[in-house]
Amino acid sequence: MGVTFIPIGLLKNFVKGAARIPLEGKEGKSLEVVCREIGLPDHLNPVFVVNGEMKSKDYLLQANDEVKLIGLIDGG
Amino acid sequence: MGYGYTGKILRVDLSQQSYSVEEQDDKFYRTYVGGTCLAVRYLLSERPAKVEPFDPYNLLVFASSPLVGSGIPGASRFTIAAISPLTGVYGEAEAGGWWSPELKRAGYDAILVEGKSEKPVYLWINNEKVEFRDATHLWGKITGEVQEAIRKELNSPQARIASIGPAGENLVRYACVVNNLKHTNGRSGMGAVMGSKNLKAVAVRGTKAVPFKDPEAIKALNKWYAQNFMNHPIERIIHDGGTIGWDITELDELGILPTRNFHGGSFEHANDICGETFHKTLFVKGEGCYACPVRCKRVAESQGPYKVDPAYGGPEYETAGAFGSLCGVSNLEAICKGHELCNKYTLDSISTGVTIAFAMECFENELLTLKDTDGLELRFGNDQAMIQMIDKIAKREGIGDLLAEGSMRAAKKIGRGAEKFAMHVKGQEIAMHEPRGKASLGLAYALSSTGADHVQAPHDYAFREGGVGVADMFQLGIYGPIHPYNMTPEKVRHFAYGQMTWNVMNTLGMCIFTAGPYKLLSMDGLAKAMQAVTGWDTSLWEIMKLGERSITIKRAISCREGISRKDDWLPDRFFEPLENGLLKGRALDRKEFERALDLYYDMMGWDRKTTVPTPGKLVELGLGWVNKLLGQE
Repeated sequence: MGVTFIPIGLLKNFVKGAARIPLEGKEGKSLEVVCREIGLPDHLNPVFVVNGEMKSKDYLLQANDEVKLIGLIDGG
Repeated sequence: MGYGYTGKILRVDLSQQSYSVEEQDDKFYRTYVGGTCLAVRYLLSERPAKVEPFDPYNLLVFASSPLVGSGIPGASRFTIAAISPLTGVYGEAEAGGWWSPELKRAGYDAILVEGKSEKPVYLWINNEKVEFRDATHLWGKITGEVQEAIRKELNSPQARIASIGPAGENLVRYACVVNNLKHTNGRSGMGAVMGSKNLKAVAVRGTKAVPFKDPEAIKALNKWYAQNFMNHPIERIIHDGGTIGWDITELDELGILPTRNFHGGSFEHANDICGETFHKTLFVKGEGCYACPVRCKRVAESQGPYKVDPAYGGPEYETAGAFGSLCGVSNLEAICKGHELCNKYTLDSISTGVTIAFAMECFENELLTLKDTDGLELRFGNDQAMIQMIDKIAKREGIGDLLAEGSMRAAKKIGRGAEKFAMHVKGQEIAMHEPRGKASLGLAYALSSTGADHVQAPHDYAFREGGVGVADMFQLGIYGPIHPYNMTPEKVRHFAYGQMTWNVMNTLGMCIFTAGPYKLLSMDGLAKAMQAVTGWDTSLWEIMKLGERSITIKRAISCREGISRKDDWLPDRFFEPLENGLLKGRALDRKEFERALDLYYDMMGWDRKTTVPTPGKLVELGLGWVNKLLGQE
């Protein structure tokens, strides 16, 4: 049970280098709220991929969700 | 003269080794402003159609802009433009660094170069004084050697030098121009045009102050920017990681990392070449352009087995993608070496990587053999072969001579179905953004009048549901998010407006990483910056119209050179399913894309078949004079 947050790439720098963050008791909370709870600054505005599907920040977490947090710019 | 400008445009005739200075009035500057729009204005009005790219009559324009030199973050750029040897139509490339502000201080807003010198020369522009200096001893040298030699012989260690290397001299069709060893006017083969004129470099040095209308307002803006950019979502991450820091694993996770010549969207070795790995291994420091605190540039160093010289900086994402996942290469050192070679030889890293990937696919499919490749196993993943190929291309040695022509021409020559492996639009190779996951990039590549170009409009993800850029579009009249994958009418409108904003940037000499939608300096803020610099009572409306004018005048010149709707298309591969990754199976839909093109042309006031801007649209944009050149009234 619980959910797992996986910050991708340099986003790890914002959560003390953690590659995987297992979390209990977050079901029913939104991605935005939980990001704040784990200390990810609001300004990062990551793309959320939940169980292989892109979701908005308002998505409400469910048990066993695996959430990839992806910071993105335009490239160049 | 007004503010922000020197008021002087330098005309150089290399055949005659003569120059003259012209002045334009305020209305001219306010209409065309600088950069891309000013460049096209000269090319379109002063040259007939069908001037061959390597003909001495091809006009080569270096254009700065009024904001440049003001100290406003990002206002450091310039455009180089001409008829492109890669596409045969209008070509342009922008770069940052310090060259453009120095040109302004040297007394000029732009340089128009025509003719061809009998022997290699370089231009030395020193506080308005212009000299044609022998460059015979520099011919064949790489950019680092050229910079050192010129600065020494001029006794001007602070001179800023834009030069070409062997690739430009050898007329590689995608040769670029490099200034200060690390800043590239990359696309469209402008370095080859320089080479065709025997113009090795343009060295500039200036100490004249350009007057600005409201220096106190500019100072306050710059101070505000410096104090706030680290709290801004996008500016902070660009500063911390550069573009390589944030795109390899990220795009890979989203299934849109161009892999093995755009077959796939995920690369199994993405972690080996990503920003995180780069910053732990080969990263030396971040660097920036004139007056910019964001400092997005990276510097790389390695002692071997691929020795990488930090003097040439380090790879952007585009280079990392083009020499990395696109070629199936997992060796980060090799990627950095590829970057270094491109800056030394002056090769566009995107076109070089994509052309090599094309050749790799040809080899894998036995359209090229070991005999053709001079014994190189040119397979995906062979980093040694890739590095050797860069060398061969720059020197036009062996198969390098074929590949120096670009993927489109190489494919035609190889035949036997090779065309389907050539990933280009209008002859210019496609950049490292996958249209099957970023629909607006499909539009950008197809609709850019210069060939495939990823810097046409802001990319889709920032404007998704909850994306950081959504609210920034409200002031342009777009009030909701768009989905990255979808090619809806709303996406087309979003792209068209976004395209206007980024063409404003290229006209104002501004960097897209510091200003525009979802950057710290908003579009509205940019209009205020223009007011402070020029004293014009300008507005967001006026500068958006400027963006539209830039897009339209470029379309006009490229139509005159022969492009039409049939050229606004994408390689077949993008209409085929992605082979792996999160978006495996996803493909663009041809009918949907046709519909999107129809809508775009309608929105822009262009004919749906010929794509020529209508007479009314040209008049509306203050370009009525173009109608006669297009044979329409």
